Amino acid sequence: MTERLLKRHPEAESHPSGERVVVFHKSTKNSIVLNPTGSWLWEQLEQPRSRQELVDRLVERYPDVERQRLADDMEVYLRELTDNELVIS
Amino acid sequence: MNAFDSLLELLTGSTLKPLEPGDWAAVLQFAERNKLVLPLAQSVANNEAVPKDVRERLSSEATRKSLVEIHRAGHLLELVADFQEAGIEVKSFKGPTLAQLAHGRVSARECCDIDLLVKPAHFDRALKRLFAQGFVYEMEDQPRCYTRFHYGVPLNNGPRRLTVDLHYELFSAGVHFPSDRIWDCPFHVEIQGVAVPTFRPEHIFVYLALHGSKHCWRELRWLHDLYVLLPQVDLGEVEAFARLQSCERSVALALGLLDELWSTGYSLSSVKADPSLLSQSLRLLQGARISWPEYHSYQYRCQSTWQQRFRLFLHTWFSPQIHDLRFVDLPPSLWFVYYAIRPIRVLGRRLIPLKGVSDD
Repeated sequence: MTERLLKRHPEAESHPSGERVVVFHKSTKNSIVLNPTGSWLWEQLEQPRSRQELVDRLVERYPDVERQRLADDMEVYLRELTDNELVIS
Repeated sequence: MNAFDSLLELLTGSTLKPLEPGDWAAVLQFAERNKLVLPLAQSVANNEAVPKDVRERLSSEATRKSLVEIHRAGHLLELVADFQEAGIEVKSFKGPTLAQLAHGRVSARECCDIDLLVKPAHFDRALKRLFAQGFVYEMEDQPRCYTRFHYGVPLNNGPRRLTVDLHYELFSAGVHFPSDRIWDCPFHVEIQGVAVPTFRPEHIFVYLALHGSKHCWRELRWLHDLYVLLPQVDLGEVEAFARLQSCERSVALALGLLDELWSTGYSLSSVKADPSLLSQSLRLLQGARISWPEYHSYQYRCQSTWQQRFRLFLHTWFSPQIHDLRFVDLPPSLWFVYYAIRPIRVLGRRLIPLKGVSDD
């Protein structure tokens, strides 16, 4: 079975602020501030990607960190983004 | 390299010569004073030549400011929708609309307020709509006749932490800049998915050039707006509109400043920037102070025709300003007396300067 791709919600608007990104939902008016890692993840989602692909990219970015830890951290970010309807699958 | 030059380099993403920690403090202070923290944070985000703690500080400040601007834009949308629902023709300019139009997003530019232009016939109705939403005059002791002599009025909404500058004209009577042609050209910019009526980019460019010279280019942010807007405008159309509005000298000055600071290489074909105005403006941009006579001389030199200079002269000496109106509260039938009070007060203020009282 193919894994569902994650993508930015079409109503989500990016506001880069230095090394961080503020993501604003045009309909719900929710906004969240992403730290540099969250901002990097958001940048990756400019194109739809699978969880697997995102973890692979994170491992490439932080080769010294254990894969499972990176996957867990990523889930925390993704949950915040999906809870705020900023990322959909 | 001083703070001004360093900031210019950083804003354009040029390679920066190493700076001392004290120099960074000066650059950040200059950026804050000129409301350029947002574009600065963005342009240094991946610049390794900038110390990490400086980037972190900028990033954190930019995030806070971005959220403020995103919410300000939301308020703008509500106000425009409310006016439109009431049949009030409105155009938003400067503020979040300029941020979106010139910089591509509302969080890319720090604003102070929301500027709305309504047709003169709709002004009183617009004012009532704002009062109904909890706005009050920004000046607590605003004279009753203020809007009779001024082209707009600032209003505050405390709970929303919002200031709206409601205009029925774009400049005071001393500056010839009719808004009819702006009303004749419908143009919209999309903010958070909503089409907001505003000026054509060429019109806003000319307006901002005139606005900058009116304030003697004391904020680098205004010039940076033009720098960002420049690639989006048709310079032929800018020149034609400047000619139509008789403000070629101010537009030539703005283009001259852009060329001096960022080597843009553009100028008007008909008028070149006045070299003395150019060098004075460059000093003012860097924080130099201007005296009362210098200010007026600057304003006269920015005018394109002798008729405009004469108009400005009449305005300076006879058009009542806030302090003249506060001087004595006259009934509407005697408001014409303010035209006589103005020159007496101006002369009196020049001859006997009062400590602690600001200039008009």
